[in-house]
Order: sequence, then C-alpha cells, then structure tokens
Amino acid sequence: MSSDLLAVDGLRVRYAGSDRDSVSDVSFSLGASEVVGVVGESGSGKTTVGLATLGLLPAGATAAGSIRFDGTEVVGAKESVLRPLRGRSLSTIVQNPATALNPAFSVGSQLTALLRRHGTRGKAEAHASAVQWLEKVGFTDPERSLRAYPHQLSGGMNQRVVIAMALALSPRLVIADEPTSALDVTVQAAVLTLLRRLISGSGSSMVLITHDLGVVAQMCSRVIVMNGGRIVEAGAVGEIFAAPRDPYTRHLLDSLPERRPASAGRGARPGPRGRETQNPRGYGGRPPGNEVTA
Amino acid sequence: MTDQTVNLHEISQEVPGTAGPARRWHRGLARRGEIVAGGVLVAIVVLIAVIVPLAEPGADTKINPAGGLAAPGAGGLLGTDQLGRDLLARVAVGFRISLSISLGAVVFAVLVGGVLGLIAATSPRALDGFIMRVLDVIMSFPALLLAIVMVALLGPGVVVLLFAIGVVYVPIIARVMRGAALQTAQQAYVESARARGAGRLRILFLHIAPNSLGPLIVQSSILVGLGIILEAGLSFVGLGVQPPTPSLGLLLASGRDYMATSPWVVADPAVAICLAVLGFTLIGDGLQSWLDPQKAAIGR
Amino acid sequence: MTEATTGAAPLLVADSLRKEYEHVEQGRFRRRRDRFAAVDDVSLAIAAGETLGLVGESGSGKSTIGRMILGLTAPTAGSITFDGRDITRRTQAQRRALTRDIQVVFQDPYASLDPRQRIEDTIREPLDIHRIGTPAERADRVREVMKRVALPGRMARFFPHQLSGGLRQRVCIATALVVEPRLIVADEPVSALDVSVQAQILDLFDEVRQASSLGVLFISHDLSVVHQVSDRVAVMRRGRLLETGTAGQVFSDPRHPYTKALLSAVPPADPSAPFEPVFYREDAEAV
Repeated sequence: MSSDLLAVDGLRVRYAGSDRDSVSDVSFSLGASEVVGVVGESGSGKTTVGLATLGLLPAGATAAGSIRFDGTEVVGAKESVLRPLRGRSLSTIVQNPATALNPAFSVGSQLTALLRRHGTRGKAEAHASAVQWLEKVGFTDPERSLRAYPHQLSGGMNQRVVIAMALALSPRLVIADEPTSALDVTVQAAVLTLLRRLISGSGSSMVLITHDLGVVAQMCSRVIVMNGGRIVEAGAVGEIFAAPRDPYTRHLLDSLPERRPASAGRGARPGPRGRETQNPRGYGGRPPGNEVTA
Repeated sequence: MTDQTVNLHEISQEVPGTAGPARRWHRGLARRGEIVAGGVLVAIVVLIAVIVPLAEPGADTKINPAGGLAAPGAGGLLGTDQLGRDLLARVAVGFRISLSISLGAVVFAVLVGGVLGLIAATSPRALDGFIMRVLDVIMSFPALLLAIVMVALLGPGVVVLLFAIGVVYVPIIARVMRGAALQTAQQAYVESARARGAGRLRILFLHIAPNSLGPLIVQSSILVGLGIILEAGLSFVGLGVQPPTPSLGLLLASGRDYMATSPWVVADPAVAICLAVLGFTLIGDGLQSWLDPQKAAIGR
Repeated sequence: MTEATTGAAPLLVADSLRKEYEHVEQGRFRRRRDRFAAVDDVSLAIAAGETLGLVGESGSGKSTIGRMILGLTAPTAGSITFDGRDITRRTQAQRRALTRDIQVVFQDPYASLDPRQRIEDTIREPLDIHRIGTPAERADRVREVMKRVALPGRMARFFPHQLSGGLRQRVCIATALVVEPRLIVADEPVSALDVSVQAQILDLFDEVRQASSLGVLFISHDLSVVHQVSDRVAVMRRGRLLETGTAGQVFSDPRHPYTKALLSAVPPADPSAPFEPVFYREDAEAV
C-alpha cells in the first residue's frame, strides 16, 4: 500500500511520567482526497494520534511504530525534516483558534506571512492571495478584516481565519482536532459546511478528530473509533453507523440522544420512565457499591 | 448488555491510574530534587543545633583562656574563639536562637498577614484598598531600616527582634495571600458553595483559605531563610540579640577582629548561615515548581 | 404576563426579568459607559415536578437567568416569585435561607468541587450550613443520598480528583439533593461530560425529578440534551425569550425562525440524513 498518503502502522505512544501507553497498536491508512474521522471520548488517545502524525508530541513522550506521510517517516524524524512539511503539505486546525493565532499581529499579517514564508513572492501578490482566501472562508469585507486583530473577531471568524491558513498552501493532509467544538452550534454549522465545501474542492485529505458522532457522520467517509488508546473499530461511516460490530461503538451510538428512547421528547414519552429500574443506567443489574445490597 | 459496557466504562475511569493522595505525594516529592536537597541541608543544621547543646550543656559559654583561638580539629570540631569557647557549641546555640527568631517572625507574619490578605481579597474595594495601601507604606521602607527603627524605639532584645522582622514580613505575606485568595475566590466551587447558602466565614476559612495555602507555604519557606540573614545583620550591628547570648550575627561581629589570623571564627557562623539559607530557599523553590499546576500538568 | 405551565400552580414564576450590565470602555481621555441588557423582559414559570429546558447559545443570557433565580445576582427590573413569595430582592440571610428550597448543579464537575474536601464532607455541607439534624443523622442522610445517585459508599472518603467526571457530577447532584430542595437550577450540567456519561446523568436527573416532584430549570446550549430531559422548552437569544412550548411542540414544530435555525444546525448522527443548516437572517453576516 505504498500509494497511501498517510500510513500509520503499530503506533504506540507513552507520555513522560506515565506508566501506561496513551496510544497502543494503532494502524490505519489514508488515501488522497479522503476524509477520515477519528472518534472517541476523553482519554481515548485520539488527540495523541493527531499530535504524533504532526510530529508534535510533547517533550519526553516516546513514540514507537511507524507513521509514513507522503514517503517521509515521521516517528523519530528530526525537526529539520518535519518543519518544511508542516504548514505546507501537512497542516492543522486546532480546537481553540485563540491559541492558533498570535494576538499581537493582525490576521492579515499572519496570513500573508504564512504565504510568503512558503513561496508566494512579493507583498502585493501575498496580499491579493490573502484577500481571496478570506473571501473563500466567508468574510464579506476581507480588506477590512485583514487589518483586524484576533481579539476583534468572534470565535467563529477566527476559526475561519485558521481554516484559511490551514488550506491556503494546498496541503496534502489537514489534521483537524475538534475544529468546531468550541463554537456555538449555529456557528459550528456554518464552519462545518464551509470546511466540507473547501476540502472536497481542494483534493486535500483530512483527519478529523472529534468526540461528536454527528460531525463524523456528516463530514467523513470513513471512521476510526478509539477507546482507551486502541482502535476498536474502523470502516465506512455508513456501515458502522448502521451496524456497529464492536460493543463500545454500539454503546457510543446508543448514548446519542437521538437514538435513545427518550428522543421523542418527554411530551411524547408514554408514561413515567425510570420507575422500572432502581439504578440509573450504568449501574443496571449490579449493586453500585460494596455496601449497597438493593 | 449495553448496560454492562457502560458500567465497565465508567468504573474504569473512576481512579485514573492513581492510588490515594499519599502515593501521589511521594511520587511528586521524589521528582523534586530541590526539596529533598533543601530538606537534607535544613535537617543537618537543625540536628546539630539540637543535639550539640544537649550533649554538653553550657559548653557555649564555658571560658577556657588557655585554649583561645584554637584551630578546628585541635580544639573541638570547629575550633574555639578568642576566649577559648567551643565554636561548635556556640554556633549550635546561636543557630537555635537565630532560627527561633526567624520562624517566630514568619509565624507572626502568616497569622497577621495571612488573615489581612484573606480579608482584603474578599472585602469591598474600599476596605481592600485601605488595607493594601497601609501595607504598601510599610513595605516601602527598606526591610533593614524598618527593623532598625523598631529596635531603636523598643530597645534591643530577642522578642523585639522577632516582631521587628515579623512586621517587615506582614505586607509580603499579605500580598501573597491576597493574590492566591483572589484566584481561589473565582473558582467554581466557591461560587457553588455560595449558591448552596454558605456564609462568608465558611467560604473564607473552609473553601478559600485551604485552597490558597500553596503560595503562602512557598513564600514562608523562603522568608525563614531570609529571616536568618536579617537577624544576623541586626545582631551584627548591635541592634539584635545582646551578648552573652550567642546568635549567628553576634558570632560574626565578635569574631571580626580575629578574622585575619583565625578565619574559622567567622567562617563557622558564616557557613552555618549559608547552609540554612540555602536549605530553606531550595525547599521554597522546589515547592514552588511542585505546586505550580502548569508545570505539574502532563499533556494528554 | 405569565404563561401557563403544565400541571398545577407554578412553583417559580419569573416575570419580565431584566438584567443590565455596565460596560466600561477606557478611552484615551475618558471612560465611556454603556449599558446593555444581558436579559431583556423574560418571563418563565416552572411547576413542581416539571423540567423546563432553557436553550440558547453563548451570550443569550440563559445563565444570567439561573443566577438571578439563585440570588447570586439581582435583577435590574422584574420579579421572581417562589411558591407565592416574592423573592426578587433578598437580603443575605434570606438568600441563604432560600437555598434549602432552591439548589444548584453547575456545569463543570471538575471545577465545582472543592479539591480539598472529601466527597462526604462536600455532600454534607448544605446540612451543616442549615444546621439540619445531629451529626449522626447527617451522616445517615449523606449515605442515603449517595445511594440515591448510585455513588458507591466506599467513595465517601475519596477526594474529587479520584473520581471521573460522571461520578463527580453525581456528587454535585447528591449535594444539591441532600437538603431536599423543591427546585434545582442546573446550569449546563452535562456539557463537560462525554456522551456516554451524559446519558447516565440525564437519566439520573429524570429519575430524581420524578421521585420527588422536583422542579428543574435545565439550562443548556445543547438542543439534544434539552430535548431529552425537558417537559417544556424556552429558547433564548441575545437576552430575549423567543419561544416557549412543550418539548414535543418546540422540537417538531418550531415557530420562531431562530429555533428552526438552531435545530437545523445540529449535524445528525446519521450519515444518510441530510445536513443542510438554515441560517437565521441576523446571523448570516455575523458568524
């Protein structure tokens, strides 16, 4: 499978001072123009997989196994090998745009600096390109917005700028870690539809890391479900959502409000619920503590 | 069967890879070499200060004119002074007094400054401003000058010295406490306690104070070290402990004349001061980096 | 104007609530003071045994409503009536006395528990505050309420950092229940939790509400969560109440265009379902 854009094989990561692996035995691959979701709850290791792919694990973390991106081995690679990749052919969108943008510079100067650092010649050309990108991500007055500082823009607008910066150099792969989780739901909807449109038109691939199964269902063609640092299930989104094989995946899907019996709303629910079970879900059939017998 | 899965899942998260608080404490402590090194230094000096005077009571004031200015080894482990008194015994007793003054000053400052800081942090802006401005005035005097003024007014002596240093420390402690308390007061659990009907005193002493002690402990440890220096300085210029009671500063002062010919007379108390100050500062620094949550947190 | 609740006489009535904040802008030469209304003319009612879901995005003023009901901040105008008594303006003593009847569960179970208190001490605190029962009775009551929220008894001596988010939120709920309040204000109680844990906590809320005919004001930005627990739903945006109705009605047949936009913005967790969010006209420019 040498044609894969990204091939992760037997990845294992342990953080300094921890006595267990945060990620163990994770293998998956990704072709060109493919959007794969990595879904899991907190502590599942999904973010670690993203950081390892970017070669951005914190100091002291040890990684084993292999991550091949576009012919380059990332695990154990030197900074000098990775730096030219990052931002150019391998870019990232993080959860909180406030941490991705430098508060001391206008968004325009950050965007043009990125363009010029990676080859766009001339100030005017970079500026024109920046204006174009802000238009693409939905700014109505890009000239003016380029002069704005991050704190003058809303969270949704900042995330649009981050998306523009992530896509501006036509990367081959975008790692997006919870790109919309910090946003209000209507803003999230706008950013998601924008991201979906831009990615599908660009030929870039994307690894979308999220806890939100709805986001995965709408954005991805394949999904990787992680729990406790391991992949429990992977496959086409349609198949897994329709017929999950792994009990954990099934449990995640069953937890979704829209799939639960209550989802018709309490008004539509027939009669009182919860009476039949003495214990809440999660402790059903098992006494919750050693001193409780009922 | 789903229920069973849920169950396992939640229980498995219950204690994320840790045993009780005790184990965390040990592991954290072992990682901080500074605290251990500082602790060992302080322990050595304190042990000497406690054991030596017990072993031979009165040795510090026993005059032996024949054995004056004996070099270390020949006359006792650390040598003798111009009157033939054993310097090991004198340094030990002197350190006892210096440390007691310094510790007492810090305890006084923590009691007064800590409470003032807590009150300032949780009071209306006017009262907060008043308390802090008064403390600012105290703080604007150089520490040594302030202590000198107090001793000049009240006369020299161990107790006066203790309070003089304590007063210097009050604004420092109050500031640290106020800063920590302001931060704690914004925590959700404080708001939560308020929403559950907790009164002001309960919130202040049960929720804010215990959760704001970290920086106070760090600062106190450093101030104990600094106090030993302040005490030595004041006693050196004759404003602190009065002879014949030995204190480290006094030992330095009385040994000054013999420094050229018998350097151990000043070296002994000087080294004792250095070791103790270094020890307490190391402990303070170590605690600081250990308690600092940003450094302690390990990324996921 | 007070709108009808399902069932009997309302437990809590908020009438034309308004809360203004002062926004001070420090210019180069002088300060400019602006007043803006975080909550603007909002009326709500909650009956005993009823859960009212209050939905809105950030800046909608939903949390401010909760804080006014709890007495943590005073309304600029309007009134709050609890059980027929006017509680709009409370002295410190009155506010504290009222916490026997009105309790709270906050969003972040990681932050809302005192890290230096053991679980049993946290849960017992409201009993201490209100001097309810002897020490032995208090301990019994704590055990009882822990059992009720399915917290294993051995965890009584634990500290918060030893518990997962879900278990911590159970502690918070137990602490709210220990004085047998009549109304609970729950401000984003499951937003910090993983989906699977959310489901369990929501079930617990439902069960508790039914067992003790408790009124619940359930504040959340998450429509699916509100849908699950609420009898009635109120939708807020920028300080204003746009729509109220039964959960079934608001979710299946929303009247206000903003509610429609809000509902369409949730990406359905079904790959075959279409995701075509519609945008509320005022939002189209701003997001």
